Amino acid sequence: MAQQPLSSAQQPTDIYGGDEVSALVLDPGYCHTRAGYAGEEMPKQVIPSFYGHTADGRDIFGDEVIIPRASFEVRNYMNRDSVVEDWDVATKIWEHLLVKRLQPERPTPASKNGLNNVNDNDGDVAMEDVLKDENGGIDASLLEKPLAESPLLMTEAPWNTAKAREKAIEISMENWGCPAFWLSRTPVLAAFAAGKATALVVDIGGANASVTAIHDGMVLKRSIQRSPIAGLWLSNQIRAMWETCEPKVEIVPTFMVENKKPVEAGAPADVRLRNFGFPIADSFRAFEEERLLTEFKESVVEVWRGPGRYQGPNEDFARSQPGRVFEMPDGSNQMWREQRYKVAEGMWDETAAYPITGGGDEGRVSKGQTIPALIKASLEGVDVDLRPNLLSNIVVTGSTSLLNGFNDRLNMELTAMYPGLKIKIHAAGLTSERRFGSWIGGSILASLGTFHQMWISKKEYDENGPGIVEKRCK
Amino acid sequence: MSGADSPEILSAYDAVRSDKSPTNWLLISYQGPTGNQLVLTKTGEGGISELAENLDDAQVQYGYVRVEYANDAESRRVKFALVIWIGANTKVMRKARVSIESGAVKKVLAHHSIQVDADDKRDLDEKEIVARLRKAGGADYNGGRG
Repeated sequence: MAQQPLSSAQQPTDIYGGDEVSALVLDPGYCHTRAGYAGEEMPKQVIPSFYGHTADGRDIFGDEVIIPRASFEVRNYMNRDSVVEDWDVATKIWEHLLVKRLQPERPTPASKNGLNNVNDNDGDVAMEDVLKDENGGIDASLLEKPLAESPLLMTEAPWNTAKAREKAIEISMENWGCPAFWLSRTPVLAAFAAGKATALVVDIGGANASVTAIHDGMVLKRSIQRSPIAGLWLSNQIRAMWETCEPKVEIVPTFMVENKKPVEAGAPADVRLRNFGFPIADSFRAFEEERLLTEFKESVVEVWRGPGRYQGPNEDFARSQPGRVFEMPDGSNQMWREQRYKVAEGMWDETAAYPITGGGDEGRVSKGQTIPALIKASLEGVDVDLRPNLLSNIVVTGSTSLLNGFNDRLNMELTAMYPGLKIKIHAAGLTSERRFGSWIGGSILASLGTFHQMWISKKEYDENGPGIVEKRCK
Repeated sequence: MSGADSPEILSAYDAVRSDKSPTNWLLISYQGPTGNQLVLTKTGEGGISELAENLDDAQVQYGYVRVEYANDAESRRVKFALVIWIGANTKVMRKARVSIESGAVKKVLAHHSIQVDADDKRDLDEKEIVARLRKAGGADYNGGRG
């Protein structure tokens, strides 16, 4: 964003004009998909990327439709790399969001809805007449493509593939008839939302944690680093902790509880479970358990702030500190002390992670996957002269970064790794700014008057084909 | 378009830069909670510390301050710093537009040696700013001590 705005005398008039155009911004992620209007502070629609697949083969979308049903599976159209896997469902779910949920159904105009005919043949209206306009021809606006008036800005992971990019522009231009399209990388938008054109963006999301260096609004490709040590990994650590603690904690999600009575801390639950009369799919159960784990992460889990790492003498100290009580949906509750630090420690210290029961390498953190290691590797891919500037402009985003103590620990680890250099961490205070950082950046970008010369218009797409997105959306 | 080149701002800019006027800082804020109109908020003679006191945590503001420092009794140097202040409680959309809108401000407050991006009053520590200005000064006749 190093360009100066054009004065109105120079602005071309054949591009989408002004700050008043209502572009749409779509930000798909592994856990949630966000959509809304450009220029707004928050996405109006946030739904899980997990969708339901019913017994009769229908796909239904939205948080409220995921309820216990017979032969009901929960699937995801994205894969764990935060890239679209199932393009058919992706098209449907995005259309559902952008067309149905964001734009309320428009009622048929009164002159055409068949209710106001003076010469009423007992209410009979020939169907062809409904689509006719005053002159007797077909009213094309009633057959219009769903997004014919809305430019669309979509976000993508910095490691997204060329094929996925081309597919995205194809869908928006051909299926939805968008007049203009742009694809932006999430770290650029997150930096932009923080008011910075140059920053080191640390994005700890659901499926992936990534570190990217942005310079003057452009991604420095060799600095892109990512690891799976993010929100869902943390959930698995909590599962492992509950498996191994004495006594073992059973995960009973809310939907299974019919009736419960309050019990003493540490006592077994006094609960009556629901009997559904049909088997509950594993995918549904896993989705519901994730809800419970998210609550646990929000209220109990903390990151050890220091000094020093958690393992060793600090562990005993933590044991003596007051903990937090958490009540499970089935009424059982207990105090959590040192375990709440230990589950998050694997993000920083690969030797401290809980091993996943069942063996195998899944869940084990390798040396290069911890957050400090990611940052180090990212900076090593960047010119030496840029490093101090990046370290003094670190933007932290992503919901998992909202863990209590995260920023303090990050500061401590970085000052230890780079002594003498100025470390400055910019982490938005508002929860919504961290959860929707990339979406907000997209909202600003799409609403800027100066950006409108940069969109890929339908005309350019028709002339050059989907390959244009590779050339233009750098 | 943005009001950054209004007559009050231009005369305040000249006052800060003038050797004869005691004014050594000026502060520009947005006129309203939305839009990009800028107005001159305040000027003063107390230097960086006074400028820092007048910054608002819930706003984006642009400051311009004159800093004098000396290597020895004979040589005093005068340099100017542009401060881009993004308060911690600023609204999201205003914060995000800073990277674009600061361009208009830089065109008006064009002569400055360094740009200080601040979101915490402690970022405006006089010693740190003087150290940065010394580095920006280029020639160092003080044997590496700045």
